[in-house]
Amino acid sequence: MSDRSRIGRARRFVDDRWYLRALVGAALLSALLGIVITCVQTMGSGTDARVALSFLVNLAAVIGIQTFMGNSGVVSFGHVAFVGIGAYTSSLLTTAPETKRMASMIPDAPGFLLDAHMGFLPATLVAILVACAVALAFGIVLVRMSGITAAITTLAILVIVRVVLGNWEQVTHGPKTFFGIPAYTTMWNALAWVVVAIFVARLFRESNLGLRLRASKTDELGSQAIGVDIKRARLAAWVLSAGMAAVSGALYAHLMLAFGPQQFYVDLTFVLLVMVIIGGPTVSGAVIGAGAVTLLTEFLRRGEQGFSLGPIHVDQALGLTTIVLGSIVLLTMIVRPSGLLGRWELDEWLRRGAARLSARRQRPHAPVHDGAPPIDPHAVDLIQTAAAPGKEEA
Amino acid sequence: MTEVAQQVANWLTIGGIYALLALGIAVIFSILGLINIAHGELVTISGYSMVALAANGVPWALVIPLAILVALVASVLMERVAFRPMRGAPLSAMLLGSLALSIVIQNLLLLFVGARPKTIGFPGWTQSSFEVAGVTVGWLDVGCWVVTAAVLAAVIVFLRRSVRGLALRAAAEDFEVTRLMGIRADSVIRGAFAVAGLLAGIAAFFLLATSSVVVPGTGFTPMLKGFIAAVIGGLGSLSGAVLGGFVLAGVEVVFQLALPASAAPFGDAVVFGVVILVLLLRPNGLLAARSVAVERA
Amino acid sequence: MRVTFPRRSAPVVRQSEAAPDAGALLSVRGLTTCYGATVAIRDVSLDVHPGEIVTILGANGAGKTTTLGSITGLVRPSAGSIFFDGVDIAGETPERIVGCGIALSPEGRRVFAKLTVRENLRLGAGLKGQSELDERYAEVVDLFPVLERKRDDFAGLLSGGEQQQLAIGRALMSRPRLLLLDEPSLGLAPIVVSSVFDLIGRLRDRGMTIVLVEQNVDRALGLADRGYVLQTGRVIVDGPAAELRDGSAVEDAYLGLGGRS
Repeated sequence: MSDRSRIGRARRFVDDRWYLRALVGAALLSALLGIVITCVQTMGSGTDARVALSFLVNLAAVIGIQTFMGNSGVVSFGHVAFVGIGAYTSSLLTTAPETKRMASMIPDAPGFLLDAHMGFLPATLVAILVACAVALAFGIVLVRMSGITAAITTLAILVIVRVVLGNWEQVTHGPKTFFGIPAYTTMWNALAWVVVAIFVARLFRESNLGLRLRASKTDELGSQAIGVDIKRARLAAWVLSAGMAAVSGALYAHLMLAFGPQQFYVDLTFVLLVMVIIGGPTVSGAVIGAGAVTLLTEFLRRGEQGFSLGPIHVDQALGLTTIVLGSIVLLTMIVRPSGLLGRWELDEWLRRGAARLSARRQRPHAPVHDGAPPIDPHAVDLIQTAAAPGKEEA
Repeated sequence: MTEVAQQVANWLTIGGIYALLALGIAVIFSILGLINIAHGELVTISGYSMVALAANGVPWALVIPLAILVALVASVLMERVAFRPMRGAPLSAMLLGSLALSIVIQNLLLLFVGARPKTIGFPGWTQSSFEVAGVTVGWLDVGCWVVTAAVLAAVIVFLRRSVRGLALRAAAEDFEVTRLMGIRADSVIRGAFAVAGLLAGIAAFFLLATSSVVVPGTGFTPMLKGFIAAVIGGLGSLSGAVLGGFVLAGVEVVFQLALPASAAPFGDAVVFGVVILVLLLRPNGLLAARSVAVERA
Repeated sequence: MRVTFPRRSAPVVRQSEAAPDAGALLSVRGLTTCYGATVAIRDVSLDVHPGEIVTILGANGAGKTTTLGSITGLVRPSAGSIFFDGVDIAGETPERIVGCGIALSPEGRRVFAKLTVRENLRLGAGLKGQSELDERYAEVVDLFPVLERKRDDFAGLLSGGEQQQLAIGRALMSRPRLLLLDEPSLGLAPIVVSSVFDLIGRLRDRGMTIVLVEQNVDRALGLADRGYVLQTGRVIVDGPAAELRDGSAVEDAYLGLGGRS
């Protein structure tokens, strides 16, 4: 398949350099996202814009979760903890000192926190740092575990942070609402942060660390044998993803202008996980999954106020959204456990399609190969079982 | 001294409940390598059936076994409806699938029963107590200890002596070869879910007898505790699950005593922090399964 | 107490009919099994007559284990028939197939390491065979005295040779009419291999019908009545063991030369 045209050369140039692949992919995805958002902003109603905005806020977290789960294969129930940390940290820094000093807020907080009054950007950066620091502390422990143990630990992290946020009256206002947050989140700065997240996520995915991590996903023993330091790669993914989750928290806080610790617990975890699962293990998947779920949720939410299905009229169907979402997840796990979009990024899909097209153009009758036929995981199981060594006699 | 005795009594009761929940979770894990997050919903469903049965004038001698039966049936149904179709999917898929199932059930209950807490009208004897050497012991607590010990012993005997128990243990070790023995896979798995349901139903009674209130989310935290207990004890090890239940209860009781009053609300966070530490030191739990780990990440 | 399995004489038959061989206990026709897009075995046909030992040879990856897996129901064939006693069992579940009278000693032995020897044997009888448990147990330990001696030991602690005996004994507990052995000599020292093969011979003497998958060509052909050679999923040569032993066909197959396509 020799393609000596300039396009072919350019394509190979990009393909050979991982950072260029990542940048091109991220740029493509961001451009698409930007187009969609612009359309909504200019042509959509106020409600549409609000939906798009909350979509972007969630998306930052979803990209973060995907960066960890999609690359390492470890299920994380804990990222919402970092969303919470991001929300509280940034809010503590941006909210006016007078508000914080009010008796109905946090008058007993340490002085430097009460006096802090930053803009959105520096506050968010600090929030990212704090979240990453906490993630690092937990991460050192987490990366030694795999599979179920790791998943449970992330659940434990969620609970621990929830309890701390919900009881640290002095600083977080305990279980009571933290309010008075300035409205810094706009469609464009949310989009900007999301685009940054997309680039970071793609770059990580294509980098050495990301590649090694993904190799360990399919074959842990094998990749350890060739010297892959899985722990470090996992830690990097974990900390990075926590930072992205924190951004989501900051955006959320400055959109809602008030929140409580119960917002960062199981319910949000579920919604975000659904987006990650449906989208699959890629960054493009995260975006598409988040978009699909947001649309579906909007549609269902209107249904919760009551709807008619022919002769059936339902008055109020609280929890309908979650039921449908949950059922979709269940069905997805049954039918396509790897997510609805498979393991290729958007730009990778395009490239493979183009490769097939050009190959067909050059040799129209030859069979087109993409590489070795995919191995059925059941076969791998059987082969591995068949190859189980017996005990050696001395 | 009496204070200590009181706490020991507490510990035994809480430990028993956690052990029952953890064992139910561990039985399924040891065979399928799967954590059923919807296990907690068995407790909730059992609780609601107690509400419904008691409200309809069913005598309490019947309510309890019926509610336990409901949990058992619900568990077997769960297997049929959700887990059998998911067989063969990767571990993360089953984890997420069971989380989805859990949330769907909770919301179905929300939809059809409502969010308002329902009270279970437990009969008077559940609240009565007696004095022993200055320590107040509730009859319910005693019942819990006796039943837990009996049930755990029964499960152990079942697993070690009966052929079905043997089949369960074999299936936990090598599912495929168990099928080659002519033992029907479906039957074994159904049996595991039935045992898990039974244990959850019994735990539900003792759990709810203290609080007497059921909401759709009632079962979630107990499931979490049972989950954690099973992991501490060593996933894949049934005796580990029982041990884990008592260890977790012990940590909770100790921290409740040791922590100053101001730190009390942080109790859960501390307990979970300790759990992470345990997992760090012994990633496979305290009684790690004897042969190659069942970890199938 | 000596027990023999019912024995019938073994006629010499050349295979190659498309219809199932009426005199055969097991008759496989046109068996094809795939793993996803990969074809593991293609158009495999073989016959096993009562009381004989048929060996299936081939290099690693040739499809021997897949063939056994298809017969026992662990893998679903994509095409073809498997006639056992005249009934097509292709695609049935393992539990049913064992119930028909086929038992397998899997590759790598795969005994239940965490269970005792006695518990392993007990399971071999399946949930339905419990009523005759004592009888069957006595038969098996008559053949394998070491299993009686070590009956309360954990199977995982047995030596390789003992585990192989346990695996075969466990298979025998279901009173099969056809015994499938997947690489019984795997990982065993030569002395132990000899005793295992002796044992297999003794089983044949008692009337058991055996399919023996092996990599140890000499031993297998020394013991078997007939053999089939697989290469990349196809049967490339078959015939009486003596012919295979003397000819170069087997060698060629292992080296990837010749053979009909």
